[in-house]
Amino acid sequence: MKKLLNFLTLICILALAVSCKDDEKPKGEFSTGVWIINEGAFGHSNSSVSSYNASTGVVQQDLFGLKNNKKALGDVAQSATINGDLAYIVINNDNKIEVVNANTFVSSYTLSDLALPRYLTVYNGKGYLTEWVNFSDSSRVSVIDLSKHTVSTSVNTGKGAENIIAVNDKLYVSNSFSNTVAVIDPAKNKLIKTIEVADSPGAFVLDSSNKLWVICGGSYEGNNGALYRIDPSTNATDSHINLGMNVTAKMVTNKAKNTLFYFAGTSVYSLSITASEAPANALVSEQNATEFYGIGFDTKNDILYVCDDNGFTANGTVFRYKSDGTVIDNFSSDGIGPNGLIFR
Amino acid sequence: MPISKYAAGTKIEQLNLTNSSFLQQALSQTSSIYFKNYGNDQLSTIAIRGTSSSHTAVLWNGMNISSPTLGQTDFALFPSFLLEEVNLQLGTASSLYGSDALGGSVLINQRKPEFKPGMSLLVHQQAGSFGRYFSGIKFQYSNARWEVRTKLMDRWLQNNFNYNSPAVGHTKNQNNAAVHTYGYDQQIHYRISDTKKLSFETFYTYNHRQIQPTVTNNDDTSTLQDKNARFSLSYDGEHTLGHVFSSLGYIHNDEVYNITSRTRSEQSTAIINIDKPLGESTSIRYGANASFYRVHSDGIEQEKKESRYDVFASVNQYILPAWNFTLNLRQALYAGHHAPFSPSLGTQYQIIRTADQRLILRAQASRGYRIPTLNDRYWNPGGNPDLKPEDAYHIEGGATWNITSSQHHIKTELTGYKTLVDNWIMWKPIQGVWSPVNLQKVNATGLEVSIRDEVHVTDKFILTGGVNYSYNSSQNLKATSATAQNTINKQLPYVPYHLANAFIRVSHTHWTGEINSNYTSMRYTTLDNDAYQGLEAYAIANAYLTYSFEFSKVFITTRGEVNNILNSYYENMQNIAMPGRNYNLNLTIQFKNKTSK
Repeated sequence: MKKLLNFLTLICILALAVSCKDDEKPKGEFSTGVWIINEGAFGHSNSSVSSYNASTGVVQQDLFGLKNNKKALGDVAQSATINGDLAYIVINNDNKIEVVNANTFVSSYTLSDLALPRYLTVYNGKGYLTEWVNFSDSSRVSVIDLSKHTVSTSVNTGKGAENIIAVNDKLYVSNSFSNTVAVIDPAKNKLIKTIEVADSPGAFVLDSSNKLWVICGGSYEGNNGALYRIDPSTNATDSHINLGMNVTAKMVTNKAKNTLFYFAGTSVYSLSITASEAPANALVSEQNATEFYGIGFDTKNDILYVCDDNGFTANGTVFRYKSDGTVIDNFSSDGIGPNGLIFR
Repeated sequence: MPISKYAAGTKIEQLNLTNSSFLQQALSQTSSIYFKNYGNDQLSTIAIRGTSSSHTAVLWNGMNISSPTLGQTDFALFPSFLLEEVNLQLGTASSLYGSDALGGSVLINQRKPEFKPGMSLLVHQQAGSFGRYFSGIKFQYSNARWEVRTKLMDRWLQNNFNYNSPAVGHTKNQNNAAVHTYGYDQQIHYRISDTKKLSFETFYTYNHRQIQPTVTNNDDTSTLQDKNARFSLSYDGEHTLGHVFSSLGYIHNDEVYNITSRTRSEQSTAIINIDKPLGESTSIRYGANASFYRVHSDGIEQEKKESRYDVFASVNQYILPAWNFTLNLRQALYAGHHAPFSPSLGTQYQIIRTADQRLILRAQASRGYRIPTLNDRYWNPGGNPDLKPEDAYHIEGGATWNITSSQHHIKTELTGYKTLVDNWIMWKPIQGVWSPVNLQKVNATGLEVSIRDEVHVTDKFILTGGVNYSYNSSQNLKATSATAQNTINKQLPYVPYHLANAFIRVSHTHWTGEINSNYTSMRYTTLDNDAYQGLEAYAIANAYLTYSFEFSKVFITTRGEVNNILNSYYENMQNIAMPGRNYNLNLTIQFKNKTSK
C-alpha cells in the first residue's frame, strides 16, 4: 500500500513536472511579449493590435490581419481583455467584440449588435461589458454568456460607463460623462450604489491594501482632475487628492501596488498610495512627444510604457522608462493611436 | 465676368458636364485631381496638385462659396444637370480668386444669355444599378429683352451595392448609403440695351444622405442633410469707365448631422469689377469685394460674425502681338487681420501661329493664401484665434502645341509646377484638447502631360483619342514632434504619385461610343508613409454608347453606360467601399422652337 502511495505520489509529481514544462512552453506566437492596442482613426477601420518583443526590439504589425487573411480588425479598438486562451478585443465604433485565440490571434468569433462598447472584465466565468449606448441616455453593463456568445442581461449604470473592475464580489463602473462610480452586485445583476467622485472618472487601480483608486479627468478646462479612494468594504470614498490640472483618466500601478502612475499631455506623474497631496513635479516630461494617449506597467521587468498618438496622423510611438522616470528607449507602435498595452 | 484674359501663363480647362451626374465626376476627367470620395456619391472633397481639400477656391458667379466653417466644398452637392459653364484653373491664383486658391480654382458661371427669341424644353430620365433614378427638366424662354431658364432635378440612389473587400473577406452588401438629391436653378436675364444686362439667379440644392460607413461596419445609421440656397443679382455693362461687372450675392447653408447637430451659415457678398482697355495693347482691371458671414453651429458656442474685404487690380500688357504679360495684385482683410498680399505675374508667348500649328509657351509665378476657417479659429474647445493664414508660393511653366490638318486636330500640353505652402494648418492634440496650429510646410511639385487627337476619317466618322498623365509629389517638410521625424520628406496622405486617364471615342452619324479608363497609383494614409496601411493602386474602365436622332423638331438621345467594366474593388478612402460593375440607361428628349428673325 505504501509503495502504491509512493508510486502514485511519483506519478503525481511527474505529471505536475510535465504540466509545468507544458506551462513554460509558449502556447503560441503571441502568448509572450507586449501587445499594443492601436485604436485607429475614427471612421477608417484601421485599428490593430501589434506585438513588441522587448528582447529583440522587434514590433510585429497588425496581428489580426496577419493571422486572418488581411482582414481588418475594425473601427476604433477601444480595449482588449484576455481570459484564458481567448482575447476579447472591444471595437467601439463597429459595436462588436472580436474574439481571437490569445496565443495565435486566429479569429474565434465575433460578438455583434453591441452599443458603443468600451471595456470588458471577466468575473466568475461571465463577461461584463460597459457600453455607452449613446450620448444622451443611460449607459449600461451588459452581462455576456461567454460559452453561448450572447448577451444575457444588462444593468443601467449612469452616463458614459467606461472602466470596470471586480473587487470583493462587486463590480465597480466609472460613469465617465458624470462624477459617479456605480456599484453592481453581479449575483443579482443590480445596481446597488452610486458613489460620488470628481468629474470624468475613468481607470481603477486596486492597491496593496485592497483600496480601490479611481482617476477622474476633471471638467473641461476645470483644472480639477482628482484621485478618489474607495473602501470596497463600505463602498464609500475615504480620501481624495486634487491634482490641480486636467488629466487623462487612465492609470496603472507597479508590481507592489503601492505607486500610481497617470499622465496629462506629455507628462507622466507618479504618486505613492500613502501620499496626501499631488506630486509637485512630473516623473517624466517628454519633450519629444505629441500627446500621451495610453499607459502600461510591465510588472515582471519593472518598466513603465507610455504611448504617444502622434496626433493620429502617423503611427504612434511607445516610450519606455524605468519606474524612477529614467528614459530607456522608444519605438514605433506600428499602428494609429496606441491607447493601451497588455503584458503577456 | 471674364477675367481669364488676366490669367496669362496658367492652365485653364473647361469641363464637359454632359456625361456626369455631379461636378466631382466632371472634374475627375481632368489631370492632377484626386477626389477623396467617402463612398459612392457620398462626401467628395478635392485635392488638386497635391494640396488638401481646403486648397481649392470654388467661385459661383464670382463669389467664393466654400463653407466658412469647414473651408472646403463637397463636390457631390453640385448636380451637373443644374450647371452651365464650369472652368478649372490649375495652380495658385489668390491674386485672381482670393482665399483658398492654392492648388486650383473651380469657377462656376452662367452661360452667356443670347436673347434669341425661342423656346426649348428638355426632359432627361435616367435609371441604373443600385436603385439609381434621375429625372430632370430644363426649360428656356427667350425674346429680345428677356431670357428665362428653369432647371429642376430629382435623384435617388439606393446604393445597396455588393462589394468584396479584402478587409472583410467575403462579399457584403453596402449598408446605410442611400442618397436623395433634388434642386433647381432659376435664371432671369434682362437686356437693358445692347451692351447692358441684368441677371438674377437662384440655385438651390437639397441633399440627404445616409453616411456610408466603413467596410467593417454593419449597423451604422448616421445621416447628413444639406440645404444650400444661393442667390445672385448681377449687372454687366459697358460704360465710359470701362466694362462694369457688379453683383450682390446671398448664400444660406444649412447642414444637419445625425438629426440633431446643426450648422447654419449665411454669406452676403458684393463685388465690383471694372475692366478697361487702355489703347491697343493694354487693359486694366480693378475692383473690390466685401463679404459678411454669420454662423450658427453646435461647435461654436455663440453666433459668429465676420467681415472680409478684398481690393484687387490687374494689368494685361502685350509687348508683341503674340506676347503678353499679366500682373495681378490682391490684398484681403478679414476680421481685422491682413491676409498675405498676393501678387501674380504671368506671361504667354505664341512662338508659332500659323494656319495649321500653334505653339504657346507660358509661365507664371504667384503667391496665395488661405484664411483660417471659422472652425479653426472659434471651435469650442480648441479653436485658435491667433492662427495665421496659410501662405503659398507657386511657379509653373508649360507649353501647348496644337496641330491641325484636314483630318487631324492634335492638342498636346506639358506643364511643370512647384508650390510651397507654409503655415499649413493642422489639428493636433495639445494638453488633451485638439487644436489647430500653423504646423506644416509642404513642397508640392509635379508634371502634367496630355495628348489628344481628333481624327476626321470621313465627314460622318470621327475618331478621338487622348491620354492625360500627371505626377504629383507632395512632401511634408515639418514634423509634429521630435519622434515624428519619420514624417519628414514623406508624401502627404491621399496624394497619389501617378494619375492617368485615357479614352477612345468613335462617332458615326447618329452613334457615339467611348471606352475610357483611369489609373490611380497607391496612396499612403499616414504621414509616416507606412506602406502596410497604404491603399492599393487601381485602374477602372468604363464605356458608353449613345444614339441620337431628330424627329420633327424633337431631338432624342439615348445612352447606355457600363461603369467599372472589370468589376474592380477599389477605395478612394481607407476601408470605404466603391461599387463594382454598374449600368445606367439615359433618355433625353429636347423640343426646340427657335423663331428666327
